[in-house]
Amino acid sequence: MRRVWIAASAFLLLGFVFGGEGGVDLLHRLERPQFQHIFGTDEMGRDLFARWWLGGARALALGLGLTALHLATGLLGALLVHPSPMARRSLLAFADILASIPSLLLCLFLLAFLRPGYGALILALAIGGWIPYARLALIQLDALREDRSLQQARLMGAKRAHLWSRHLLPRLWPLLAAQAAVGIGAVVLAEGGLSFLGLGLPPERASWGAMLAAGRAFLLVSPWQLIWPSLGLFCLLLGTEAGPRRIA
Amino acid sequence: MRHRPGWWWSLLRAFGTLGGVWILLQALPRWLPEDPARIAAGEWASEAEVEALRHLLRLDLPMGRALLAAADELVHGSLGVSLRYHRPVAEMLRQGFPVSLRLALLAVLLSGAWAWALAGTSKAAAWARAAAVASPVYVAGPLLLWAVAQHVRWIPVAGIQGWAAWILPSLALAIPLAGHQSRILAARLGELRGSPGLRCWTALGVPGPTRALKWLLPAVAGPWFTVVGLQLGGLLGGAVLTETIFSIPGIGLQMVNALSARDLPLLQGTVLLGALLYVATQLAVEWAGALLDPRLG
Repeated sequence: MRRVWIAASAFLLLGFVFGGEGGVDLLHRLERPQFQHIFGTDEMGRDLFARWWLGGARALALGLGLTALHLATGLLGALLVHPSPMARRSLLAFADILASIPSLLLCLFLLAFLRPGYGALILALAIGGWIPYARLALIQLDALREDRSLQQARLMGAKRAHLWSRHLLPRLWPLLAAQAAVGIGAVVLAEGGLSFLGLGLPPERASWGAMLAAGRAFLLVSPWQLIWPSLGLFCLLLGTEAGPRRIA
Repeated sequence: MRHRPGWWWSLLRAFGTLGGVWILLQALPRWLPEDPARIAAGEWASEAEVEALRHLLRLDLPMGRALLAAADELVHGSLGVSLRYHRPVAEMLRQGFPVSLRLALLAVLLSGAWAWALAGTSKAAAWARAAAVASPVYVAGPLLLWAVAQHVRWIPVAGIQGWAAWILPSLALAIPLAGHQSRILAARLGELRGSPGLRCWTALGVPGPTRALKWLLPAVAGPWFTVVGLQLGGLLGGAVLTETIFSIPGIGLQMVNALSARDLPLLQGTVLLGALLYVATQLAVEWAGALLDPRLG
């Protein structure tokens, strides 16, 4: 299962190499799948296969990259505030405030006043993503405070680097990794929703969400632009559901 | 026994959180790299127009003064005036809320029934759950439209005229909700399957339906309601994507319209209402949980 997942992700990421934005060709608009365009063309005559592949690669890369960013910022935040009860309480209060705004609404609010592009998208998706990781890390660090083996290591004069690499991180990791497995799918989902609303990357950049939105507009003329990204998103989300965590 | 804070404490916390949200919504536009007034005024606006808009949005005041002025407005029941529609934001939200509420309730009811159907133990049920979670509304919605729009004449594809118009949106919205719920249900039911309590009831010869109603349902209700509450809370403030896809004039669509016009007061109003409804639902779930299970109180 895991091998299938890695192979499929690698294939999708190859879209950065072999995919492309597709050249505009107004004489061949909204065509059905055929030899030259195996997925058909969109309303500007661009090749759907190239755009599909590149869009998928972008979605997956954003999912992986942003999840890593969320994990890193969450962990870092937890480590920074952990020693001081005051700082810790303020971080948790701030997290409560951010988490009480439905995440899509928060993203939309931010994106309304940012210039569209990777920077805006990453900022909007990163602002609330660190919260679960920080909470989990804080809980686990609290539990480790009472831990005997950690206390003994400290009494024996273990260096900080040793404590971190041998005692703390190995015990934080399983919880955070489990959350990250769920997180990849959540980022892909959110990114698709934002680009569906036209708030993701600029429109000339291929993305599955934007393809779905355009496909919806030309629903009755040519459903292909709807079908391919739907299939792609479904498989990608199913994969992030089933792959890393194993289906029950 | 450890002292547990009472219901008033959670109420106080909820108010504190909402206050934080309100301050954040007032402050965030000032912290972003671009000037919100310039963006809202549009590309062709003159310097004087931008300045007037800045004054209108209180961006020319220092933060503390602007907050005080906005708080004064809020106390008098006003959330400002929409830049695009020139109507009070509170009035617009009051108009959109019943629509969003209806959609949210329909979808949650539908998904609740659906979740039980997917909560089985078989491999197929597990895949069905994963498939439901992997079908976000912006995938399921357009596909449903495509499948239905050509063949079924009596289902409208947009708007809210007549009861038939609610079928597709609530269906599309309910799929992923049902997936998430059924995953919780399946996990909890799996835990209960071999439990001594259930075996005891079976051994006593209690018939299946009674067992399910009197024992299984209460045992599952806690975690299930928590998930349903989370979902409902997220939806009450407007199902943005669903309302956009099916042109349903609720709060979510209002927010998308506000967004394209960079209508700051309307945006702040919709997001604040979304947070308010989310927090209120959480609070209700917490209190209901305490009533159902005295150990949590």
